[in-house]
Amino acid sequence: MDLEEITSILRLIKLNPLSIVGIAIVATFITLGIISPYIVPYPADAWGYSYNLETRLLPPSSKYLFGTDEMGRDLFSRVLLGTRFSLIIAIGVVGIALAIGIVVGLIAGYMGGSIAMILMRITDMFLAFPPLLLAIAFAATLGRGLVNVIIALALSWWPWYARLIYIQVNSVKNLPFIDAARVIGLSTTKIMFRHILPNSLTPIIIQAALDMGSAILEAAGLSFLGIGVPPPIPEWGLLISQGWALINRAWWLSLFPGIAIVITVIGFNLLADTFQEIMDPRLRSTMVMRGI
Amino acid sequence: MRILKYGVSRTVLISIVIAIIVIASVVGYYIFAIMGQPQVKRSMVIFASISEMTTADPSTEFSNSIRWLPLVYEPLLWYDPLKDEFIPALAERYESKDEGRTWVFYIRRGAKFHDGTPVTAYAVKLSIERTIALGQGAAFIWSPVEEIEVVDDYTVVFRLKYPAPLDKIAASAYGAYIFSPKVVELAGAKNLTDPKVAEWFNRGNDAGSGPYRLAKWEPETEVILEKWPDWWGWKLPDYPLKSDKAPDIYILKIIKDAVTQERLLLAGDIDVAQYVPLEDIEKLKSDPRLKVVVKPSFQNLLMLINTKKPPLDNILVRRAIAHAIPYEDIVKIARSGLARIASGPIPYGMWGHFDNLTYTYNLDLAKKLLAEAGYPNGIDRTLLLVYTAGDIYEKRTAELIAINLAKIGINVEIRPMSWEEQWALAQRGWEDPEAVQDLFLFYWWPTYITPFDFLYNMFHSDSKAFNLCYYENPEFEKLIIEASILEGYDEAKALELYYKAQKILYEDVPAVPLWDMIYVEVGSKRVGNLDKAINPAYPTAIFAQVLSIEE
Amino acid sequence: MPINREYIVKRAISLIFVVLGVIVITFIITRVIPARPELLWAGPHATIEQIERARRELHLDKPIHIQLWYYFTDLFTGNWGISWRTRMPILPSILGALPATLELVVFAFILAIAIGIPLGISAAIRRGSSVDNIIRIFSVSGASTPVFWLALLLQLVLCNWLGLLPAAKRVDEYIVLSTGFRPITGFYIIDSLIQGNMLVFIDVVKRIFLPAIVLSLYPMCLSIRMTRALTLEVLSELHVRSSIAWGIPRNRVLYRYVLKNVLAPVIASLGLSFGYTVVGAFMVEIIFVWPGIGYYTAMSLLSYDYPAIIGCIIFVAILYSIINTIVDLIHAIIDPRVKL
Repeated sequence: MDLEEITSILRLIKLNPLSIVGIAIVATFITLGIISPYIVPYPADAWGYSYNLETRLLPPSSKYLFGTDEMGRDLFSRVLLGTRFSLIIAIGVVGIALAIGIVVGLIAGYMGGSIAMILMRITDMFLAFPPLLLAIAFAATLGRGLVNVIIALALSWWPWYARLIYIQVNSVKNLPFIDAARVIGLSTTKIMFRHILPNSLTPIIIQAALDMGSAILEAAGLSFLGIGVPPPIPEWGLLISQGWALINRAWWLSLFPGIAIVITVIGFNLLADTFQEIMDPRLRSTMVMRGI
Repeated sequence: MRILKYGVSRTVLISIVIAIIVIASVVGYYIFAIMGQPQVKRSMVIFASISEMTTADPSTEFSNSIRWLPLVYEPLLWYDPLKDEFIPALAERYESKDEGRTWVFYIRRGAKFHDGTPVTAYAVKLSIERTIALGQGAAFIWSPVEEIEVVDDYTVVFRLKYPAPLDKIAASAYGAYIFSPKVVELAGAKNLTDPKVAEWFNRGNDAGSGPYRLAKWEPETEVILEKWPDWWGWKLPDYPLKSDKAPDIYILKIIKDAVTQERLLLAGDIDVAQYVPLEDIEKLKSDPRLKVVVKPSFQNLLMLINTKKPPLDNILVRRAIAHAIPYEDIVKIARSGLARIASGPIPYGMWGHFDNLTYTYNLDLAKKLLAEAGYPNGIDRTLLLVYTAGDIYEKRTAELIAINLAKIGINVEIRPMSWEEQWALAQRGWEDPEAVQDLFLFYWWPTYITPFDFLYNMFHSDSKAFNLCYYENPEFEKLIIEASILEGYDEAKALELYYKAQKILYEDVPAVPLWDMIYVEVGSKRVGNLDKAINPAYPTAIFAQVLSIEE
Repeated sequence: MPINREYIVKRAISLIFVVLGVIVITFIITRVIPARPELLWAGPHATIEQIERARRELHLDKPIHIQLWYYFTDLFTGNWGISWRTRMPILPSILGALPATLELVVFAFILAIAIGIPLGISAAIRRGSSVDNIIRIFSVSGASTPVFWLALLLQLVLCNWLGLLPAAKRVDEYIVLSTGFRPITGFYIIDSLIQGNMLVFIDVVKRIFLPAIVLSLYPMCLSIRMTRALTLEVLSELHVRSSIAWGIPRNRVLYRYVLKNVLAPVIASLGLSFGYTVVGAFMVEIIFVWPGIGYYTAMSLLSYDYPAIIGCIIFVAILYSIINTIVDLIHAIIDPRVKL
């Protein structure tokens, strides 16, 4: 990417305030995800190592920004630490799904023939499930746990990438430069990863950015259904569902973790919109936004 | 493009405005229509049940259907454990002979089943024999019974293998209901134990003799009971278990969470909520439309300790743990004060409960005990505490235990598990105690009201299914078996032995009793007698026949 | 309009294929991944005998391809197993809960289309204006909101604090019993109209409104985005501009060219979001005590009722495939431009 390109991208971003908002949200989210364990005001509260009879169910105040829960813990600390777990989930899910998807999509796209048919038929079978439903099935079978949630979501997600990459590879593989690479005798793997993959990445990056947000949303959904991350991990969906039990008395317990989810996911969605505008405006409206 | 831009947008705006007007007028019409309609008043009570119903078969049911079984079916006797007295049901009176080995029940004349056949000694014999023969659910309560003999139509004699309190057994919340022998015919079955009979029950049919009959059976969403005007009790002027203003229709609505129950109650959509968020009780108490009923229950929460897995096989370590648990804080935080600190495994209010079996919360003592046991710096292994996922009281209790045990150098990992996983894991402990949990949060409540039920099931080594402390103590086992036999004819002596047995448990600490639950029911004001309709011997049931509906 | 038979046959075959795929995948999830499937199947408190029976019922003693064969035949003969939560056969329970869910989802989709398409069109027409930005922000944030959270908050504010709408339940039992209402089709709105029972009808509409609004949020946002994008395309097409030049009244331009071109693809795209909506119903129904498939599934999940969970997943996945196929076919019929 040369200087000219970068400046033109910057100009585009500058034109759209929503893009700036998106980038700011995502940057903040990632930063907090990394540093939150070191900056939470009440670390013992955040990790669930403490309780306090005197401070049960206090409404938001300057001392406890988001109020306190039924164990007398500071909710702000817990929500803040929750960014770390949401970040882990987002990266874990998209990372694993992407890895499987890329391998399957590349092989199917490049090899073609019956291998492609078999692989894409398998992909189609997975895609026949409504989103999240398959993740529910996997999560219910695997049992509760942070890692299990990530695996369950990734297993239900890779086909989206596999198909996307398959389509991309098909559109790229007969271009002249690939033929040229083949003629000079480069190995198949090399062609796939050095030449085809980089040229098919654009829509995948957009989808991945979009999916970071969706991963957070869907993990929260699993937690709400009781098959997600176990307590005392302060995952946002779990905080909401625990707050539900006390919502008539302490509305803040469900409100704030939910706001955290909404803001983060909006950030990723806006970011994806921005990528789309920059990289390939023609893709407008072909992307699927996931949601719960 | 400018012309188009304005032109089209105006059209859109107009269509939106029209849509809003249409919607508003429709909504307005509805609201108007509702205001105009008089509210129809029927003598009806809607009761919110936290869990769905299980089977409708009175012989095998051992779970949630207790919420309606005692309204549709009757046992021989009812038992009021708080007053320690029996209320006659299908048996008008009874007597015991031969030091509790023979029991004679005199059946009420004039009682009929819903199908019209009279309740006779023969029906009693057949009902109980079916329960025993099926051997499921609570059938084990009848294990002392040698034979059931019909003397005449209205006299039935139970001969026992060994003395046992058969009156309490006959008043059991499960497995003691009498039903019409006509079910065989109605179900088109060969005999009573034919699976067709159970199927017939589970299609929503009933064969009881109680004040209500089953009108609608949708075990996952709602069960509707209808008053049965021919019940003998309605005609008996002094019968304590009835009211002249009992509801005509009693609906059990399954609403699986406390918040929604509370909300529906406040909106007048339901009349009685059994589970509301405990933190809200104070607020609900001050609501003039509602009445909060608080009653002791015989359900308690214990922490079972794996007594076979080091270092928990050391009595001193177990005692240290018992003294490192903040009982008061747990009751306040986990149950918002709506529980009693446990004193021994027998819950408060029950015969056999003693007040001096509570452990003190004393971290210094706990540290000292741990040092004596040879662990002055705490335990180097992380203990695993399992509890049932979804139960917020257990969850909070578990967290508080973990936080406090950490203070004496014992690290605890708490893990929510589904009940069956948890139980399957714990079952393996008898073969391989090393491979299973260290600590297990465990609810218990009795099938029929006897201390033996608690002591045997959780602490006797023959009870492999529920003795998940893996505790074996021959002296203790001898004491409780002896006490249970004495209970049939010498209660004072039995009580003494039960005390000795509990004292042994107190010293050995195979389990730490944490709290005895206090049940809370919140009803709308128009439902009178709610407190009388609750009986801890029949947990979660509401005797609707006792309710008095004010209109 | 000629209907392309070949296309329909092709679509039907692919539907069969997809359904088989769904079955195979659930088979793998239930029988191959767990170490001892019979334990999951037999449920809590299972005796050794019950576990042994579950083993026989699942044919676990047979080779894997035979197991798969039995799995297929069981599903097609309606033998979906017994829920250990309720001890009832699963398929009848699901079918009994279906009308409640369909009623809710259809209501939600009507709301989504009725609100989403006008908003999308007006955003497109005022592209770049503040109205456009507000609608875009709404559509992005709507798709970023967890439905269960929104449901909790709306219920708290609208029902608990303001008392505007009933908090939960599908219909009031008092009204049902006192007016003698009897479900016929299972769709209470239709049933109450057939019986001329206005009290029940009003109650049902009042109660369906809030859960339906919450559920409609996602398809609504999707249809706003789709409509906006498509309207922009349509507007930029030459013949629209030329028709203005010819003096056709403006509102007819809108209806003839924009709505007509936008409606079919938007509705088709909503077929996809049906999946999200049904899964969203899992959470919304549990909050509003709506006795549909979602409630049944969520309850099964909360108590780890494994056979019931898998039954629901198979059912919803098959339903989803069928609905997508139907939507595709309708789309193909009403929109001749779709490549057949």
